[in-house]
Amino acid sequence: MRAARNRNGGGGGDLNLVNIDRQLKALLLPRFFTFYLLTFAAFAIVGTDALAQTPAGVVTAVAGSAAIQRGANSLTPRVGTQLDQGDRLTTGADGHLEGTLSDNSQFELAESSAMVLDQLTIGAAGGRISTRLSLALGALRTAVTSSVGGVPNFEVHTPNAVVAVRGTKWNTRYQEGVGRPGFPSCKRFTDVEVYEGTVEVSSATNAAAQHRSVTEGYETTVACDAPPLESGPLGITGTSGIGGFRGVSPGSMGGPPAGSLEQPPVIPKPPPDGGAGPR
Amino acid sequence: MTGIVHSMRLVRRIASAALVLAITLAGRNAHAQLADLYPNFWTLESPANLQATLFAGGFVSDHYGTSQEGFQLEQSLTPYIGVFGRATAYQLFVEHNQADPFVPTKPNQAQYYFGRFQGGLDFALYPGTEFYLSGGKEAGDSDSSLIEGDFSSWIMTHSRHPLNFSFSSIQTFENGVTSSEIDFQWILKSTANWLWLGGAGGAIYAGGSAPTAGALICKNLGRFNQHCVIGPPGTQSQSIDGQGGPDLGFFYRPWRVGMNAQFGYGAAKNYGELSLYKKLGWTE
Repeated sequence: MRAARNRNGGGGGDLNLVNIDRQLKALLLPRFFTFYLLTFAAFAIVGTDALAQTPAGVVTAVAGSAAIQRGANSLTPRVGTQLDQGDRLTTGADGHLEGTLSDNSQFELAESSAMVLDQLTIGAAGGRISTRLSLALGALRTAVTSSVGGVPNFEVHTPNAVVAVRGTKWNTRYQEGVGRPGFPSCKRFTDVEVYEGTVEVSSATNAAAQHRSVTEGYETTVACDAPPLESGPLGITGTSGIGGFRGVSPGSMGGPPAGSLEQPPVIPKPPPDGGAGPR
Repeated sequence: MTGIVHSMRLVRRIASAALVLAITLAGRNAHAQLADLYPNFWTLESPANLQATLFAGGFVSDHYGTSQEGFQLEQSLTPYIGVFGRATAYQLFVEHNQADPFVPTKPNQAQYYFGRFQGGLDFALYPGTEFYLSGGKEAGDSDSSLIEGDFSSWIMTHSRHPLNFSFSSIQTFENGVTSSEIDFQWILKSTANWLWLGGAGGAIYAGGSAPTAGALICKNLGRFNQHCVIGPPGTQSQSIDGQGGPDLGFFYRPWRVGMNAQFGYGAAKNYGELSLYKKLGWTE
């Protein structure tokens, strides 16, 4: 009886199970394929970018002492050396290093400087998705290819400032441990000189501080945690110019001047006295 | 009596201690202020800088004209102090002259040539503010000793149109004449390559106390002809005169070349002047 019931019931139950199983398969199979399809697509997209991220760039010129720290390894850069995301580039007192990033932007690291290629993401079409360089010390000259849609997707970070860029040539310098007149108790300065386009400068440590747009021919300074100063003409605001660029590859950077004091010198005017005293 | 003496000694000791303390504190405070205002004041600049400025120019007026060319070398010692030397060659062309501009009793020449050699210190008083103090001597058709101070300061540097104020004064000892020039120039436009400046300036001449000062002042003002009132030898004159007008200049950054032009009216009637300069620099 139980067996018959079971059989009967069981037979009906088996049928139900088969139906449920079929229904489930009918439901799950598309989802299964969809899942794999989506996963594959995601990997394909991410993979494209991941592939595009390597290499991040290439060394185009080097002089004096320079090094690339890649993980635990220290490499000696030469022309053609591949740069990877995460590489830390350093130059000695007599060093100098130039490179081209995979988005065709160019950089020049002056002497006694240190920089990390934090992030360099290139889209499938070769366009820049985002680039972030961290300047820990020294001076960096950058010539950036125009960004799409004016979105500031190329940034240089220093310990106390963020410089976001819209297709431009500019110099960034970070100095610490040295004071400046007019800034008592501050010994961390980021100077930004703009030679083409516009950069937006903000404090890296003070989110509430006002951002400052700096246009071609002007420069600004971020002192410690203060907001960026109002920009002033290149060579006039007292930053003494961001020098140290040798331009090992002449013309490769479009030739913005090396900086330095551009204050009109005090020169003698024609002598209205026609000379001086009697002989 | 002994007690009073003892008390006086005590008071004196306390006063001395207070004075020493005050001087020490004041010294420390001054030192701290100096450190704030001029960080690394006593540190030799490293790397040091050597700058050279080549310059040339000319001045034309109704009464006389000059041209000059020379160079200036500046060597930094500390971030705030440097030494400099300047050598300038002058040519003076006299028009409508009735007397020698240097020796009135002699018949005039059409041209005079002399060199001016100066050396001194330059002080970076503040970013964008410099003061040059120099002494020197002339050689050739003029041989006066002289002392010169040049002050230049940028105001409102963190703005679109900073203002440059410059003041230059030369004292020539043989005739006691002081010539001073003043200029105000605004930055009209700044680009990656160009810096355009515009403003106004002028010169004031005054002096002197030497016996021939009257004549010399007249000549220093450019009045070499009949319009000049030349005092008889032995008299003293305290004339003050000058000239002024608008000026325009530019600096081309890639070449580090600049030019300044000014025209106006004054003691020499209508005048115009032009100066060109080229800056060179080396990091040592």
